[in-house]
Amino acid sequence: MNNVLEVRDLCKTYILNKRQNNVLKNVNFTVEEGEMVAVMGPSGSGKSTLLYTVSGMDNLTAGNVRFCGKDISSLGKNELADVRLNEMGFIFQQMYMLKNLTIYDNIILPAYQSKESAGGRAGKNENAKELMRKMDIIDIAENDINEVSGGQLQRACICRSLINNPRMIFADEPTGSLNKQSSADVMNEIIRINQEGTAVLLVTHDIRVAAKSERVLYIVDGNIRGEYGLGKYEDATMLKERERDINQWLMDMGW
Amino acid sequence: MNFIVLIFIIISTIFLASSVNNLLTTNSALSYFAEVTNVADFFLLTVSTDEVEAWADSKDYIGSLEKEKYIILETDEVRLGQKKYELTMTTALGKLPRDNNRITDAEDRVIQEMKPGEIGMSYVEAQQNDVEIGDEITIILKGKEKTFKVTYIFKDMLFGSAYMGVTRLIISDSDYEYLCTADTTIWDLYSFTTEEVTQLSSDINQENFMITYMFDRSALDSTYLLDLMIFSILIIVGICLICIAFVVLRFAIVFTLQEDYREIGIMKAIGLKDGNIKKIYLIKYLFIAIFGAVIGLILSIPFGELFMQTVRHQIVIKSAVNSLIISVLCAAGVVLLVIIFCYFSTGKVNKYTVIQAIRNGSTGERFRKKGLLKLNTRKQLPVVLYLAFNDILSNIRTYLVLILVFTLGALLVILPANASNTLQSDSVIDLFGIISTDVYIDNNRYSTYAGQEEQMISDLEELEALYLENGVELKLMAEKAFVAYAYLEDEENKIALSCIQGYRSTADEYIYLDGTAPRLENEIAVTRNTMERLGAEVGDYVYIRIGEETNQYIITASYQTMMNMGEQIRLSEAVPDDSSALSGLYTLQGQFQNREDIEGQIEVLKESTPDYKVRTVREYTDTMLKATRDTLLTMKYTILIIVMIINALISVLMCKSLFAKDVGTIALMKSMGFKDTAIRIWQAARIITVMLVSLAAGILISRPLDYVVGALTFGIMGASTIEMVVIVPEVYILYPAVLLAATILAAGISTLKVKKVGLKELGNIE
Repeated sequence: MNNVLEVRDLCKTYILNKRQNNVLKNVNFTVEEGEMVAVMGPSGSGKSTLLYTVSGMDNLTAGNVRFCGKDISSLGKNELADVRLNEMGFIFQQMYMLKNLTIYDNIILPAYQSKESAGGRAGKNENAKELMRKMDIIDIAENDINEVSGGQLQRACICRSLINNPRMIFADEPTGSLNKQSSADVMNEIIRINQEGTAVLLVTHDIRVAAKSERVLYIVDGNIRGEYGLGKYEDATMLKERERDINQWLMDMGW
Repeated sequence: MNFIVLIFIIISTIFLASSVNNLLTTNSALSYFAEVTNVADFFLLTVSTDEVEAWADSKDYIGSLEKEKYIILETDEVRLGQKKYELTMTTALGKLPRDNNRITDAEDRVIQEMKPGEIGMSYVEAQQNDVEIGDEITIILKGKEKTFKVTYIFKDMLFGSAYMGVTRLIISDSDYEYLCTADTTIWDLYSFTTEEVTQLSSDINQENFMITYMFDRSALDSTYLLDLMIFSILIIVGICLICIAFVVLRFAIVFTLQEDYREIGIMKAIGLKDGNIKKIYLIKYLFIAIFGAVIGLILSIPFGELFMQTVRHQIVIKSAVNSLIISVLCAAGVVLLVIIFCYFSTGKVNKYTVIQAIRNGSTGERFRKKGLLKLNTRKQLPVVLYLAFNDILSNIRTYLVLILVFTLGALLVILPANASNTLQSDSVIDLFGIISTDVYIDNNRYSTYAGQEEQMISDLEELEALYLENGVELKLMAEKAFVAYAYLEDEENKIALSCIQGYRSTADEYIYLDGTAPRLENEIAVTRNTMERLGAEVGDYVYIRIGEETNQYIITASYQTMMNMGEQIRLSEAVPDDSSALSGLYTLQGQFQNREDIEGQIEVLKESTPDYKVRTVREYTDTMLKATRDTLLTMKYTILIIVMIINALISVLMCKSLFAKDVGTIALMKSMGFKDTAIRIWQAARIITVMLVSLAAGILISRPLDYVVGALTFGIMGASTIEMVVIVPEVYILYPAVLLAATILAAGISTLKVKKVGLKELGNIE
């Protein structure tokens, strides 16, 4: 398997009130093609910073991050924007969408902006509709973003992240703002995407979400303290056992 | 944002204080000028005689009478250094007036003394010959010669306007006595103070004084019509600037407070009362407003002067004693307005629940479509432009305010520019009541043709032959002038008038306001001012005495002229004129028969008759309009620069306000892979689109408004039908492009902040 993401000796430092604050310290890990990796850790441990730094949305201080073979720290701003547009997808805890646009227009926005995705605007529209059908939100296509539920909105955000067929999805607490049912629905969609071959790196506090990933990284004070392999998630039958295993492992790690 | 509010408070104070001051001072400018210079009520210019004083003694209603003596100068009697001095109007040389009709220096102080060797002239006269303080002027009179140093370029209500037809050079008493000899042409100026102007005029008409000019204060005021036109433009500009400033100020305050809604919500959440929250903002804005108003107050003085200095050269305008009080009141008004705006804007917070305030006034429940454009139906539109257009249509009320402000700005540039261009154009010759020809020639002998029509015809023929000899075929035409007396029914109410008749031109070649050109022996055209004075209308009969003969004529048309204070009669070519009554020529003009190389032919005329003044339409009209033209040109560019700066500031305000609201969305777009440039285009495109729409609206609205401005400005001069000149490349392309460029530049700079937006700003998304 090829690595989609390779992180080597990643450091991220902020200077705050003339004091150096090392948020990430020599972080090393990889994400393989089609793999789903969860990042867990206590609040302030650097989970989200890790996600944004390895996705090129934030600058790194030292180390090396290769995404699909490209050293993202050496890419210019515009090249990085192109990588984000065409090869990465982002899902956030809050369902961020552009106001004044319908759900459908929000989803196709990155596709229209991309010059790489094939099929012209007609093909992009077809792709968007297909994604919305799969996510079961085609009925709310023309709705305003304030007219739909949180779960529907998050599924729309997932559609948007997939619209340009990215190589990897970065998800920051994707179910953090959702109720139990919506959370389960959204996770099922993320798993389905992953099963279709898109790598996923997600940050979560939720053991039930982490249990559906292939590997869990545990981060404390900017260091990856441990890694736990769960194997590919196939179906719900093993879910309880996976949750127990992770729980035990996390307890051992000091969770 | 608070800084931007401060800037607009400063701008509002500057505009309000300076415009209100200018409105008040211009409104009373002429009466103040008359008061300072003690201008009399009625004036009579006669060839020197002592009869008038004796006659006036018998009239009880005459309060006082002052007599001043003036030497009338001829062209070759004045030199500027080693150069020829051009007399563009009747030039009188006199002593310093001490009681009536005084003159003031550049600082508006009445001139009390002229020392031997000093000479002064009006601003308009100095402009005609490019005379500056310190220049040397030599007067050569009947064998006597004296060189003077120009020490004053003064303000002269009586003879300071280009439309008076008379100007005066003022020297010391001793120099006057030295130059005045028995054989110089002397005119007496009688200045009457009386409340019975009509009676006085009527009584003078019954006498046989050798009258050269006779006019009252209202006629004198009318010679400042072009200055009044500039005042009108200043008033329009002032009102527009005040409107712009207030609209933008309110906009800025509402925008700034909206930014703080979340903070207000949190304050409400922790238990602060609405009244306390309001106080915080009212005190904050009170301080900003006072600080801004003080700075604005200080800056309003030079800003107001910027416009007023254009007319201040010629007219005494009220001193700044009152204006400081007015400015302080205006500044206080701006502070009050800011507090009112702030009070009403914070008032909304009372109505909101805590959570609504935190959500920037949104309830969170909205079942209304906001976006009006659909991206998927705009297949060719770039995404960022779609976003910009969609934002505008989704917040149309906000953007309409901006469109209104920018449209006002565009009109502010376009309308005065069209008025200025019209005055700069050759078509302005219509205002002089004469026809447009290639050249206007002054052979320095206009007045010598009095009673000498045959001589005039012979001179014209000789001149044509001379030009032909030099290869130029020029058809010469002339306007013959007669002194006429007109009355409707009662001969006692007759008025003295200038009467003209075309020589080699027919009456139907001229432009009339209404009626038809006079063609028959008993038909005449009369200016509007004359009709008003006579109490006549088109179709009425009037009696006119020219020379010894009195005839009845029917008025077939009315027309306009800025000359002779707008009072004139035109005879048809069919009227057999009384050659002996000819008082001289009004104009001598020519049309080239060969239409090629007009400029070259003009050069030939100048070389053939170097002593004559050969002028184009532009040069001819410049003799009276130069000062006004220059003033309007300065105003045109000043207004353009001011509007450009205002637009740029509004663009910065808008971009910053929108940026503050959009920062979360920008972070989101960055996360989606939108490049900084694309996001900046989206941000700037909104304000640029608004500007483009406003410019288009401004251009469209300016067409009908041109006629309103034309009526307001040129109408003052009696020119109600002047065709406004629109120079499309300049007014509709260059100026809008300049305004657009300023907006693009301001928007481009303001959106630079997009680069600094990081992902952590996602939390700010609404």
